[in-house]
Amino acid sequence: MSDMTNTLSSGRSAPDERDEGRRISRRRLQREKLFYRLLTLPAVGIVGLVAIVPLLLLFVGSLREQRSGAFTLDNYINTLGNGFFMRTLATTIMMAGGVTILSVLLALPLAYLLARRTMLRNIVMPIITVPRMLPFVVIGYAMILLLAPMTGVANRVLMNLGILQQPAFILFDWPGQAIAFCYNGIVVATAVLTGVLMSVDPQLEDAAVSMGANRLRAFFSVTVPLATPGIIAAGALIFTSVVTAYAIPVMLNGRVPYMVSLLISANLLTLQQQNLAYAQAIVVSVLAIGVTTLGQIVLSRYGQRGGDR
Amino acid sequence: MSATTRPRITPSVFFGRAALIVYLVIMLLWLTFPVVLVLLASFQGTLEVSFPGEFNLDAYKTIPPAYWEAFWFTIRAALLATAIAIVVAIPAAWAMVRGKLAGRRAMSNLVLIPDVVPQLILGIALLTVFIPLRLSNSFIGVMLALVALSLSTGLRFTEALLEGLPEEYEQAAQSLGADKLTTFRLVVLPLIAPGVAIAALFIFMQNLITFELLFFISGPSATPIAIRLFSDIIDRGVLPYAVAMAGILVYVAIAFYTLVAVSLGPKYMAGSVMSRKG
Amino acid sequence: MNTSSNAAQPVHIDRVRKTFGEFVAVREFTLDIAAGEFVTFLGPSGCGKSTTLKMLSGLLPQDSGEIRFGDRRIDMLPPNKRNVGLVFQNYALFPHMSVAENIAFGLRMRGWSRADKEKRVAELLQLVRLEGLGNRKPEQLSGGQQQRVAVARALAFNPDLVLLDEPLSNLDAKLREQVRLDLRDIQRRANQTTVFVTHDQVEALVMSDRIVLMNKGGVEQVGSPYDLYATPATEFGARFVGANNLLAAKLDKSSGNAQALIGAETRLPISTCAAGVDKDGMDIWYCIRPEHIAIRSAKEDGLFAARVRDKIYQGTTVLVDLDVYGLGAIRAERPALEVGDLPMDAQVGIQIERSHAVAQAGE
Repeated sequence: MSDMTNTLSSGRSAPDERDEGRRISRRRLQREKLFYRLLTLPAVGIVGLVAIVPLLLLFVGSLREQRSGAFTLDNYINTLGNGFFMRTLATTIMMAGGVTILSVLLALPLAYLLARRTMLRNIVMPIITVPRMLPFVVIGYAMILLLAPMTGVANRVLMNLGILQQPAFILFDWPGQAIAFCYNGIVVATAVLTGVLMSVDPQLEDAAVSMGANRLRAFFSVTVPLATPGIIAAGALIFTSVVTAYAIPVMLNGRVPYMVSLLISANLLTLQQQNLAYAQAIVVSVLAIGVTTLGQIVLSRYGQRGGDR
Repeated sequence: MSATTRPRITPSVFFGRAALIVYLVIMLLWLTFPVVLVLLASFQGTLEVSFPGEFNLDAYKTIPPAYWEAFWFTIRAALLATAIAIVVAIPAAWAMVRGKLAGRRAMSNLVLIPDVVPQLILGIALLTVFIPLRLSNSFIGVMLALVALSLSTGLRFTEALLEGLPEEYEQAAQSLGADKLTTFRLVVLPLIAPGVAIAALFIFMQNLITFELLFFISGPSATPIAIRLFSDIIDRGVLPYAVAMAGILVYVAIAFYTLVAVSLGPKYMAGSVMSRKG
Repeated sequence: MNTSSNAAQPVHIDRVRKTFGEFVAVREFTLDIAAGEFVTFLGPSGCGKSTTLKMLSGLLPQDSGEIRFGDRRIDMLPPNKRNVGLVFQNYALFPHMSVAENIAFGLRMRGWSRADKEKRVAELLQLVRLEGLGNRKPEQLSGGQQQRVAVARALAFNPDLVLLDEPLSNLDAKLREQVRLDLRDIQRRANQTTVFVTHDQVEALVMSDRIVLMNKGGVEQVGSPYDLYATPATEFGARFVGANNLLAAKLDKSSGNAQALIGAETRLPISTCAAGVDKDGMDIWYCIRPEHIAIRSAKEDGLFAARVRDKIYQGTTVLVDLDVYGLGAIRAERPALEVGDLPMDAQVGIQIERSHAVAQAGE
């Protein structure tokens, strides 16, 4: 006969001893949790002090009147209702949008080549990584070396070749800024899009080719749709970086400011209109963060279909 | 290609291939021209770059002490900020990943904020706190700002590293008699150390070139090199020794790339740089 | 304590229970394990065997109940104070330490001197037959070797209890068979109280002194491998352990002996009954092991008529699927030499050599 029950030993603890055991282990677990919480405290504290609190103060400041400190929405009204600011915001968005589209379009074929050819990728890798390890100021210097009217390489070469009769004054104007932004945009787009295209299984494209499409058609009908969420995310990244750029607009500024960051810093530093500057800064960051979040949402929602190697 | 016949070189295919090669050359030229121009100009001591042009080190020799001060200032601040960020991030990440704390998600997102908010905005916001605390125009202020930025990158890295470390290692150590701290010291740290080292390199580089964040809180006594180069262009235009300094920064960037590429191998480089923020 | 001789400890588990929210992972689990005994927790995934193991190791706190090693109450102790050796499914060997350092880790935690550690590591390397490999890193060893290092590491400090969580699942079939016997041998020589968790019932039968058969958080049966195989206590046990033919029947005690009534008229003798199979007329499963069905010529008297439907060659044995008149589809297993030339659709007679009855679930 098989035994279904188990032998019970003698000598089981009394009921209060049993509860004592449970209390000991529960206290131990509580101490553990406290210990873990303490470990996270420095990190939270630093971020609180250096990020959360300043941003909160920024927000509060934006709601107060400059002189009296009274709470008001005037700063926002003066921002969103100000024709000059809104026009500059519009040109900023145009610049950012144009740069984004141009960068993505120009970088996409290169990213495709890099994604599919390991040898090429190994050679080009340093070329697209090193610029990202430089402060953007250095790129500004390069732009000046290239596009300056008298001394710039481009102007001198084109004039020597006879293509230009007189130097093109594009540096300290929106074309110069656009070119600088496009440089950064193409570097970032190439890096990110190569990763995106690498995550699309090449076999899917090969399958389309084997069914009769030529390589170009296969690329557009199979790979691009799958890569679109990643492309959008890359675009969001570039767009945001242009909208919030400061160094280039100041370095290559012309008479008419195209980028809002100039207005914000003018209010902040020269015109002593800090609270207005805060409000403008918040408007710009809402735009920037909104676009980034949108890109992330698109990426996470539509990202992984057919994309796993 | 599964076709058994070789594709004929029709004119369209020929032009297609040629166009592709032209495109590739143009793109590579475009990607490399800034670095090349800056380096060339730095070795020619002039703003009128010419090929091949003469070669001299005049620009480098005339780099003023103020520039070197700014350079070393930046290195010190970046090093210290990286070190602090790593030392704070590792235990925090360990607690978040293993501690099963309530609100872990919220904490993760909280520390991401310096990453998500545009640097310009955060830089302006810092003024609201730094001015009353007299932290602007100070080494500590710059370093603190860098720490906030480094911390969010650092936490992302270490969280990922710890999540990639199977929990069984720690469980095994505990079953063998090690308490939590000993486990952390003997098992967790050595296993995440290589990844942390790479993360530290990336964070250091990021700190070195941070600009918008520090612009508003820097000053005459606290000038990171990127801001120094920037303000000199505004005030005095492009000067040859400034271009030389930019050249030095290029060498630093190349040195770091080599360091990372050598320690990781090209395969990993492709993966990490291709991610969202590198 | 730098000695390597410690008497093995008995283990007492008293009404240990674990729930995750609404889900009861382990119902009240009670078991006494003798010192040096090799006990296997056997069951399908999700049955609670790994959860119980984790509670024994301390990595998962129990909701209620007690656990004692000998006289020492350990259920409120953290894992690092329980003196338990744990072998993981994926071995979890520290990749940055050598084999010797891995094995010595538990000794290091207990403050052993360097000389004592070296001696003990050498002993263990010999025990698991990995002499000379102490300086290698785990990644340089094969899967089977890594597993033996994991075992050595768990045994090094003479734990009160050794726990193995499906350690053989990552090995290929041939290696598993060999390692099973190795492990059994090591355990006997080391004389450690051992709990082994697996879903592979052959493994459990081969290695264990006793088996705890678990299903859906509860214990179906505890007994020797022979008990579980020959006389399963429940329907689940009859199906899970080994192959079995289960025929729906009713218990018929009208003639004084226990018999199974199949259909309207067919009565078959029952060799053994599980506990609780005693009420006349209750629904039971009539269980016949495939190897207990003899296949003979159709012309013999007193046999059931059957037709051969299929033959599946397995090397030493052949599975013969039969249609038995009055009983239905039955699978027999006979030595290949015996039924090698049995033709398909042949008419044969079958004899049931042994049978067992369990209650139908829900009775």
